[in-house]
Amino acid sequence: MTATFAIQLDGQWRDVEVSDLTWTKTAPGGCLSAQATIKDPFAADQVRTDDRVLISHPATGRVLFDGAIRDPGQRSRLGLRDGQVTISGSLLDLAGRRWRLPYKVQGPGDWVREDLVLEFFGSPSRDRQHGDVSVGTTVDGAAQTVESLRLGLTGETLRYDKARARLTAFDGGSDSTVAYYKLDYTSGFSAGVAVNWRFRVVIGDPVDLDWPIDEAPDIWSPSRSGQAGVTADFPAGEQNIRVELEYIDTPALDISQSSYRVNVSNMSVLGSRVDLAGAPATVSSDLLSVTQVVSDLAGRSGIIDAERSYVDSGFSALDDCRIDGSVLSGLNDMLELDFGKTYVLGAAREATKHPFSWREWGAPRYVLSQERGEYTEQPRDDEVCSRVIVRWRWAAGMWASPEIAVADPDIYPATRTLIESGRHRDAEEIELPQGTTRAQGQRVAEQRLEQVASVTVSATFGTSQQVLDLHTGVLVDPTEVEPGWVALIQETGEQHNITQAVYDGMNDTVNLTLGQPVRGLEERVTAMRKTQRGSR
Amino acid sequence: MSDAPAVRAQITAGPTESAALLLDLNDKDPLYVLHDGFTLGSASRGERRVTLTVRGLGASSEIPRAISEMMRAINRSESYFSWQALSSHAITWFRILDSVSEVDFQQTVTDRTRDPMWTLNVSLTVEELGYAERVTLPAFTLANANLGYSIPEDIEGDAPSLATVVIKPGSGQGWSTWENLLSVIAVHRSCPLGAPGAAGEVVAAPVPAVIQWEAEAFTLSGGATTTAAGTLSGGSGVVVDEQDASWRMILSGDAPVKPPPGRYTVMLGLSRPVNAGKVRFRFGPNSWGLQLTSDAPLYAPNAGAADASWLNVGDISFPSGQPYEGLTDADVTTPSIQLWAKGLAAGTAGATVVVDRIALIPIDMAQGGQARTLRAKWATIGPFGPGPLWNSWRIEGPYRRSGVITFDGRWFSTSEPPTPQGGFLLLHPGMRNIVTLLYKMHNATGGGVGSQLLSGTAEITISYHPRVRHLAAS
Repeated sequence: MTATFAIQLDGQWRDVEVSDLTWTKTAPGGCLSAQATIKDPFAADQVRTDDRVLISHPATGRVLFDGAIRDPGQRSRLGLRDGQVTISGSLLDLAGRRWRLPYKVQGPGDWVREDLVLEFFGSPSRDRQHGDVSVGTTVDGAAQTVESLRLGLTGETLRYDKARARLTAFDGGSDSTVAYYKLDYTSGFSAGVAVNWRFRVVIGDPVDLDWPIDEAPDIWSPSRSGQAGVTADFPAGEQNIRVELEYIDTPALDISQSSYRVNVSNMSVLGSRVDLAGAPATVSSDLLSVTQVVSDLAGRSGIIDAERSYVDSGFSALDDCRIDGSVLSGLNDMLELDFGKTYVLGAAREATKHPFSWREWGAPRYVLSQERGEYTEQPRDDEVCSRVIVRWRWAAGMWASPEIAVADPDIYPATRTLIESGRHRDAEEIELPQGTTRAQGQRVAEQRLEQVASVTVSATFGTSQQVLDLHTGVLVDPTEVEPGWVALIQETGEQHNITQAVYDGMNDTVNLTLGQPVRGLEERVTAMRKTQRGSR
Repeated sequence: MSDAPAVRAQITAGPTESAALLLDLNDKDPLYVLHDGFTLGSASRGERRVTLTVRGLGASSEIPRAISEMMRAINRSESYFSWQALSSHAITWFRILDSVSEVDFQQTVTDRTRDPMWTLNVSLTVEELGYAERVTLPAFTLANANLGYSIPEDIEGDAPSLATVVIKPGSGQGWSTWENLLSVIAVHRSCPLGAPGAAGEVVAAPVPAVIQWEAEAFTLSGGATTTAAGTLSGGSGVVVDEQDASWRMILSGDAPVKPPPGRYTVMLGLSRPVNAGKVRFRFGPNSWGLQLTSDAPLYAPNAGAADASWLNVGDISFPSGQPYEGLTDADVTTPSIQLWAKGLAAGTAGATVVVDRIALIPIDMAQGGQARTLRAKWATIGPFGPGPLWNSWRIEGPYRRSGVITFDGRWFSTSEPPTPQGGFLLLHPGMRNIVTLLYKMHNATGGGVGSQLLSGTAEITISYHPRVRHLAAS
């Protein structure tokens, strides 16, 4: 079958006739790849790698696929190209550039610790003396565990005017600047002692130990305990962050007692973010949601048409999030945390900007009739499990009590026989990386249960006939069926996610892959690990 | 085999008589094609083979040079073989595809005292369909209020032909030279000979026409009000508050005109007073799953001036939710529709957008109609000022490109040239051809923001090369 597509040759858009056109679109994803043979040998000869290609529907004029030439075809002995081109879809534009982005870095576990130095100076001696700084570890056995740094002041019976201690330093070297930081702190002092300490967070070179005392970009005077969060506007580029503590009060501090102690915990640093349009977004709290990360990733790619894009709100309490890789790998990491969502980078209507959506699979959109196509089911053959056990070690090294998720037969009917007969079948145990939080452990357990406690059916559907679109009531051509929506099988009422659409122009047929492919355990854990720690 | 040369056997740069002549094979010096030395092979995969019997006369040394010249002409990126056996025949052009053409030599010595006579069998791969001389249809005037035009002339040739359409703004108007210059083309073909009637007579199939619904004919809700103005279709339109950032239904109810069964693409005719403002719209038949999401079509008018534009809000089919093949008008009940809007609250307080009319352009008809839609959007025209520079918008089907031609005949190109999307216009012989054109025009020759959606006219010229399976008929 002959089709045409538009290609930008020497800067001008031309429409060329092609044969043997095939393309693949995926969800989550977008336009993945295409192949075609350009019929006009002279046009074929002009094709260069990276020429942009738009494939549109001749009757409606809407764009179905977009990408760029990856392989312009073989040259014959006489120098002409054979016109057999391979096109990489625009989805790969999201995979092309790598980023190193700390969205939220929390706790000293992720901080690079510098030498801990306590300096005292002032009267009676102006010489600097190094005190004793210990790094204490607090283990919180509840939902969260965060290592805290404890500064204990012990030493000779001396009185000092001023004391300063550098607690931590953080290597924030990344493609993002710091937009926000927050500290929880508690301080413990002997009764009757003035307790005017102040923190400051310094963005800059951590090597410079000789900081002038009055140069404090952000200072506050703490009460005995509390929380401090500050929005900061720091210069772009790679930055280091360190938290410093200084005693600024008079009278001079008497450190003969050993009870001067400041605990700093729940340190979190948030990187700057952008919105879908790529404009700087306001970061004013330490709450980080998947929505914000997804918007940032999409907006950062620079190829999103913000006016035709949207990101549905989702899971909103990311404890720790660092992405080291491409926009595409970052989106896939987020998908692991925001179960039941999908994303689609649509075909560009004009040259470069794409619609993007991050949303629920939602209600059925396409009605597939087994009479109007070839429907083949592949039932999963492994057994249904009723229980998932997830284990991990706290950051301090000891084992956390395991998170056990048990299936509710009302939610997972396939487990009813097992559970009502008083039995359980456990899925393969999952061990998460050290330092996992309780919330993350629970999430993994629930997600895994959703996979193992139901009978997942995957299927394929191939058709060359029109398909009913429930959004509009229009019967659309096979080429117009978009993956990323739910298909309703007319005869059985079953619902399947359309995860892939392969168009075969030779037979004018589209082959849909239905059902969420079951993700392997290893794949899932690897994704979790990446999300938590980056790939350091 | 007669020695007489053909009336015309030439290699030219294009399929018209005015195209540059690359090589003449009519005259006898030194190569010529015999008037019966032309064989057209059968077609396969869009190609066919043309075999020419070429006679060579002249000094032996001239023959290789002449063959070399012939090969050079054939090997150009675009060359055509034009053929006319007898003067009573029409000229047919064949586009030469394969630059590697076979040549088979025979040398005949007729007389030892003279140069030998050469016979060459030249084999060329050409496009399956030949071209006849370009036909230019009489120009017609299309009023912006009408959108569609049924071409009364029969289309010549044996196969559908890609057309060239030239759109020239009517007197006193210019192109909208701001963003969102839009051109949507849809051609419908329908069999002029319909089904036999009861008495055995032929009943002409209905012509699929553009259906226009006045916005004010529906039930208003969601704070929408009507406004009257002479520039609006039907004398009034529906005002939508741009400052209301919630999704709300603004129009609903039964359509004023019942459409024939088929699939339509829906265009909203919108205009906006001077204040900037953006509104999203979602349109659909009742009881279907309208997606009120932030990717709904957005009307983003040009800033600073009153602006009128078309916005595509998706497709609709009648009857909804079922196949329409083979249905008749009686099978469709009057549709009930909904139009939802969401302002972006981006403009100044009190900014509004006016929904003037809803145009339904048939793209797939129950009774044998088929359409091709071309969307060519030009992001921004600049950096030159408007004026007579913008002569006409050309859609060149044969070259598969679309854009503005300046007064001196050059393609006007900016950093991002227009992207043709969809199918170029195909004129079908033996069928009725209907052209629907939507564009933005400005109510001044100088160009500017689009202000002409209802009044105003454009002069349209359509031309095409009839495509022939064998030889062009005179």
